[in-house]
Amino acid sequence: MYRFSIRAKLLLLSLAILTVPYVGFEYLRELERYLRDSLETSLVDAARAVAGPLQQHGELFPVSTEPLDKTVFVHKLDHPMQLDGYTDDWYSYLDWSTPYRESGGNRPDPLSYSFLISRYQQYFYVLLQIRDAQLVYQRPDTPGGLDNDHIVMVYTDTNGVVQHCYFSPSAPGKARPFRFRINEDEFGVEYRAVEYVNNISGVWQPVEGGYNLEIAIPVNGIGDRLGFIVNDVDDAATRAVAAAVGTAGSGTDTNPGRILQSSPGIEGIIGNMMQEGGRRIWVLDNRGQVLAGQGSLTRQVAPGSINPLYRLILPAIHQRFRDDLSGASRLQGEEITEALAGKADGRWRRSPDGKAVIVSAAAPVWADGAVRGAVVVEEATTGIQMQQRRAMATLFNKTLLVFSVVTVLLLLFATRLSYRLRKLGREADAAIDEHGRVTGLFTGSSASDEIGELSRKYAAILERLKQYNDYLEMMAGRLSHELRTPITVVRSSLEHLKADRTDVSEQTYLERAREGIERLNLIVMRLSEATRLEQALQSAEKQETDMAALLHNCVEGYRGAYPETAFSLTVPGKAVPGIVAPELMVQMLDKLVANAVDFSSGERPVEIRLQDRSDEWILSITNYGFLLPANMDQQLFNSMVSLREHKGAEPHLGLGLYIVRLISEYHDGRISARNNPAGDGVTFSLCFPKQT
Amino acid sequence: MTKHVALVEDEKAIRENYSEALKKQGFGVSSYSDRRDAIRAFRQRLPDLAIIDIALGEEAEGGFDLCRELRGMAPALPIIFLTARDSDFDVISGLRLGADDYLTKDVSMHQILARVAALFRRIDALQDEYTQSAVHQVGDLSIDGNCMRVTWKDREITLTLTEFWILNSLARIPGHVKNRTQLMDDAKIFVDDGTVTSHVKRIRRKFEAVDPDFNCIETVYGMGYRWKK
Repeated sequence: MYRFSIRAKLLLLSLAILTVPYVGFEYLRELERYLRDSLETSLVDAARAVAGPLQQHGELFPVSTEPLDKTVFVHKLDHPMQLDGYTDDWYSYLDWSTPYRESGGNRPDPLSYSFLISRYQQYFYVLLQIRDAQLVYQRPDTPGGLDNDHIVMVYTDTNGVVQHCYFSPSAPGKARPFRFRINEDEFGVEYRAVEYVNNISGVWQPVEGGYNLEIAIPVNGIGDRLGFIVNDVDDAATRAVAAAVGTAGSGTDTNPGRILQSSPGIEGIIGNMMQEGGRRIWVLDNRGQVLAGQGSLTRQVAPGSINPLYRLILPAIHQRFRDDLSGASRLQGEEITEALAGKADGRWRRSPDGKAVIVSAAAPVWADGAVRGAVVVEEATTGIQMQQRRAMATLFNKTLLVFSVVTVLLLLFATRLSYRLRKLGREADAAIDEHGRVTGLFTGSSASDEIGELSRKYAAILERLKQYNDYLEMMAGRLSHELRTPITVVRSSLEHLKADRTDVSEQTYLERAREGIERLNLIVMRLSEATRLEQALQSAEKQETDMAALLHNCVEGYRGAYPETAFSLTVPGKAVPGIVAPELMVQMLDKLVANAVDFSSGERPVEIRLQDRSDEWILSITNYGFLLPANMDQQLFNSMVSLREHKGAEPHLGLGLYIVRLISEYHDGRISARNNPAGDGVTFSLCFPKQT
Repeated sequence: MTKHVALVEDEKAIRENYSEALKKQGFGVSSYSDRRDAIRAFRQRLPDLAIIDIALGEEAEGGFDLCRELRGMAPALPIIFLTARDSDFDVISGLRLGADDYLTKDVSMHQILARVAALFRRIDALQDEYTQSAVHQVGDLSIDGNCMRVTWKDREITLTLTEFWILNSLARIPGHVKNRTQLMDDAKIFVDDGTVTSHVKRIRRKFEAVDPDFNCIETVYGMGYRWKK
């Protein structure tokens, strides 16, 4: 069975701490909801605050009755642009750009671009970022050629006449726009002449995956409409225009969008109100048309401080995301509808790329008793996410710290606990030997806890057990001592009686009584034999003895002592030196041989064998006949254990093999008694080390 | 002249049985149950021989103290110790109390009587200048059978009566192995083999005290002992 240690259990318990982050996570979600709500409220308040001063200027909100029109919304720049085709100086305006893409068609590389127009003082700056995998330039020496990637700028001049102007460069860099003028030659034949436009300048810059076109147009050079058509040529061989996308749809060519500029009056009012980053403010007229816009949703957030590990676990915070309203000139949405109906409202929406959630709030602008427009304030929840992320990181860090500390403490505690338990187990195990005797006492631990108490109880139990064992082992000696006096009384009295009486029948009884008392005396002597042996062991002296010779002598003696039993002795040819107390060895051998003779059936000789090993010698005595019962092989050597079923002439107290054990232990020997594998007899084996 | 034996034994039944047996043998017996009574009587009149139990009533080793006092009064007085414990033998031997013999209480009456008689014989032999000495010489060992005196290389070895009998039995025929039963018979004791072993060990020790190179008593394992020529 698998052992489930205390340490493992405690460690498993410590996993419960891991629920803390979950609770914390739930709490953070709650917090996020709360923050969003308060954000929404604060946005509505901000929208109202902006709407307030605007209500004093009803004249800034024209009541338009014209049908809704395509518009191009011009942003205000606070610095002039470097015309270089790169987007570096556009950075903080990029999210105002409007995306366009080729509709329908399933070309592998569909045309798409983003368009951004802004104004700084007397110039409009236009940025077109075109995605185009195949750049095809105008062939050299073909001025006015249009069978390549080119961009048409459509605008109305100051007279309201639609004009076209072409950017069709033959190389990257400065792109001179041109237009076609219908001239008559001297023969009166009309022809198309290429005329460069000098007041409009552009830079064409290829970038990875496409190209940029940056254009500067003087404000007074054009009328109130402007549009661009991007023509894409992908095949350098056929040079056919594969796609053309205009900023005002398919009608761009004839009817470009109306230029819509932020109302300077309104800007003057709201200009100072939105200084903080991350908020965008729109002012709309009563049809949702943008009158002014300011601010950016993008907020610079320091990304640091968050462990890179958490960025892997937690969803990323996107500082840049696609914004569906940037560049819009007319806003729609529930909150705007509500605001234009006269009620301030808020709304949540996800950015089209799903990377951010944007909260917007709209408040109506009242003038002359009617809703004249609306103020929309927007903010992305990046800030909230950021805060949430930081809180979560802190939570995770602290939980991890607490978890580590608790785990280490538990581990230490569990290790110590299991060490102490194992130590106690080992000590308890070692305190009692295989024979069930208490070999050593251990001092109870001084610890005041339960384990210490257990240890002390163990020590106390062992102490009591040892006392009991000692009592048992000494009982034989004490008993013999106590019995001697009454035996002497009986014996001496019997001797007197025997001397006094002459009656034959009385003599018979006296003789029986004497035999009885002799037998009793023998029992008493046997009882004290073990005790005397224990005393003898204390004074015994070991000396080097040739065990082979000793066995030879002894077996000779046994042949005389047990004439009815045959003995066979097998010893190595050479001397087997043993460091032993020879008298004790002989006494032990006497007991073993007496035992073997008693349990021998007499048909086969008692075998005595001596084996010489490199570091030990083994003495084995085998008798054929009676077998040992199962499970008794170690108990056999305990005091007062006898397996004899038949009664012999002499009393047996089960001390013989106990004496064998005492002597063998004195010589650091190992003793075992086993039935022969063949089941025909019993072998007692004794193993003695040569070095003692 | 009637020999006078003092018996100091706290167990009444044993005391009376023993004194009766001794009286039957013609000895004058005075018995005492404790040390104080005994010493008071000894101060008035010394017995010819004393049999003393080691454990006397409350005093577990009262016999030893009594022996010491008696020895102070009469250095030549034969003393036999009786004990219920085998372990006391080593104590007696170790204390060198000058006991002439010691026996466990399980010996039979006639073994005690044999000792009493032998000890009186020895006293008589020592006192009678004209007694013919029966000295038996075996190498460096000489045994005087009448005085029960043993010398080794002309130095006297003090043996108890039992030890003397065992040594006498061994040395009588050098080189001949005597088993334990034979030795017990000769020493007029009936005890188990282990007791003979410890007696022999004590004899050896007494010889070794005089001559550290003594090795004439040889153990023939499994058979017995012999006196080496």
